[in-house]
Amino acid sequence: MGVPAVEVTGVGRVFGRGRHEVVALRDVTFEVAEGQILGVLGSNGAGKTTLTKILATLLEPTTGTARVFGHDVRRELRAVRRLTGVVFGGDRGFYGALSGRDNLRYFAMLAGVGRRTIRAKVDDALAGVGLAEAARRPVETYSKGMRQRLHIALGLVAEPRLLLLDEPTVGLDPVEAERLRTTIAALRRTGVSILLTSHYLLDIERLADRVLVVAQGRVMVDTPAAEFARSAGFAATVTLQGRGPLPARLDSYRMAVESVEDQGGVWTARLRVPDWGGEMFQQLSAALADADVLGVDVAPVRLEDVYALVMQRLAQGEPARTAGAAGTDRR
Amino acid sequence: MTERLLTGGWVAWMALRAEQQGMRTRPMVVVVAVIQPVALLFVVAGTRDLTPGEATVTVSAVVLTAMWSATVWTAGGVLRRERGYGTLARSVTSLYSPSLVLFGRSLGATVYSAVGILASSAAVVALLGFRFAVPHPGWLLVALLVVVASGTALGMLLACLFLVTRHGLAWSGALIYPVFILGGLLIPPDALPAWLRWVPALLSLRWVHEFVVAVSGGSVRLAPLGVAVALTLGYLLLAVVCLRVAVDAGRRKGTLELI
Repeated sequence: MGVPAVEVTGVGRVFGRGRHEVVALRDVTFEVAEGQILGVLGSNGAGKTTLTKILATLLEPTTGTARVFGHDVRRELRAVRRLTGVVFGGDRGFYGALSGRDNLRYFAMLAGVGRRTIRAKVDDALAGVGLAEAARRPVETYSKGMRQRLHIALGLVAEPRLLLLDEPTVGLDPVEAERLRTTIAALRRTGVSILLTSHYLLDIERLADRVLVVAQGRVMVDTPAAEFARSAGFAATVTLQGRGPLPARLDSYRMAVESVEDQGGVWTARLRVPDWGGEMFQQLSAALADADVLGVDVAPVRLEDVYALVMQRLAQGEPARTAGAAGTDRR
Repeated sequence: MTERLLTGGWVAWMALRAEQQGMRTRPMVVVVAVIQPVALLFVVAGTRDLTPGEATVTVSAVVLTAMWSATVWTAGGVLRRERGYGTLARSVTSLYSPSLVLFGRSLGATVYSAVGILASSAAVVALLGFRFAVPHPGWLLVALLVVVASGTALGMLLACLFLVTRHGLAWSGALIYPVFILGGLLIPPDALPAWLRWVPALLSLRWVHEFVVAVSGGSVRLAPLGVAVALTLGYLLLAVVCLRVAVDAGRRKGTLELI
């Protein structure tokens, strides 16, 4: 097995001193295998951005070590920077009066793109994010989505082996966000390793191989994305609507009745099913054989539901699941 | 080695160009590089008949005074503006030395301001019909180069100092007028109280002015020029150290914002 793209061991970060001390990260340990996309989830202030900044060499960890392709982020700054591209979301980060091309050319130079190839690489990067036609316009005339795409171009122009994406779809309209997800998915095929932090669970659901849940500066969950989805304990929510008596066998088999409502003789039952396939369909059909069913709706479990459940469990004091061999799972 | 030098030069050139492109849209540049020297020239010399020697000394003093303002407001504000744009972290944590990047940007700001100041001053000089005594034009050119180098180094130093304090903008304003008065450019240093005469001695532009005054009188005195060059190197060294300390502290304290 090769060197992991990211290897974080016991990293802690404290801001301020004394009464003003804030612990942003505590004993954080995880890995990102080469070519993997790690989705980092967590509420505001959980420590996601602090983690990204440490890997981007913008911030030193107070304790522990962090390595990018084997290079220490504290001591081997140039090597880490050469291998890493960073994309932070937001409107800022560019010179408003300069054109998109001039901004990108300048920052590409700082990111290590050579003077002989810079023109071609900048044009390719602009075309890659659909900004070729707007390249000559000052950035201050760009929409939020265009600026975000320019941020992405900037993160990619030096062809990094590790891409750190902090809330890349924040503020984007659904079309722009989807376009960005497609770009990120395409990057995976080129072997780029990605650490993706996002509030939008759709980003993680669509892109991540592994999921890391950070809360109060700690890694609470570190697991393959598919397993994370399963950790809800059910695969889908089935909503049934019918008339007359509620079928007695509904609560049998492996179906858990979440709620039942009755309004004017019409009942609505919500069931959580552990999987959704032929067998479960047959069981449900059998349970409803004598019922007067008006409608059936099946909603597969979404990462958003899982995340809410996990956070609820953590708030109730359930122990964290930090898988030891987390970094070894690859897609 | 050659490749490294070429790359270093290219990085500084790109930084210089980026700074100059940004300066085109900043109103403050018009104030410090056009309005200020024009106004100063009219105030100081507009109603007087100057001898060629006096004209050289006066124009030199006005140009250097305007250069000081330009250094404080343009080159000195480079890093503060970077923080405003949200580009500071990318500029100082790139693959290249932050000092090299800052040098390019400060040089860009200084050259842009210097060209503006010289052009507007030349226009006023032509309008007022000044006659000059320029016995050693080559040495005046050397003095101009020292002024640009000195403005660049001083701009780098001020940029670092304005970065480490939260009140950079207030410091910029506060530094202008004391130097106008105490800088020994418009008011001769001998006219200052003895206990304040050390202030102009720390300002390289004051020594360049002394050199230009001597040259316009027909004698080339290298000592003041040497002091100006030494002070320039001192500013540069301090700026490099200050920037390194500021960036390292920023990484430790978490004050380097990427956006």
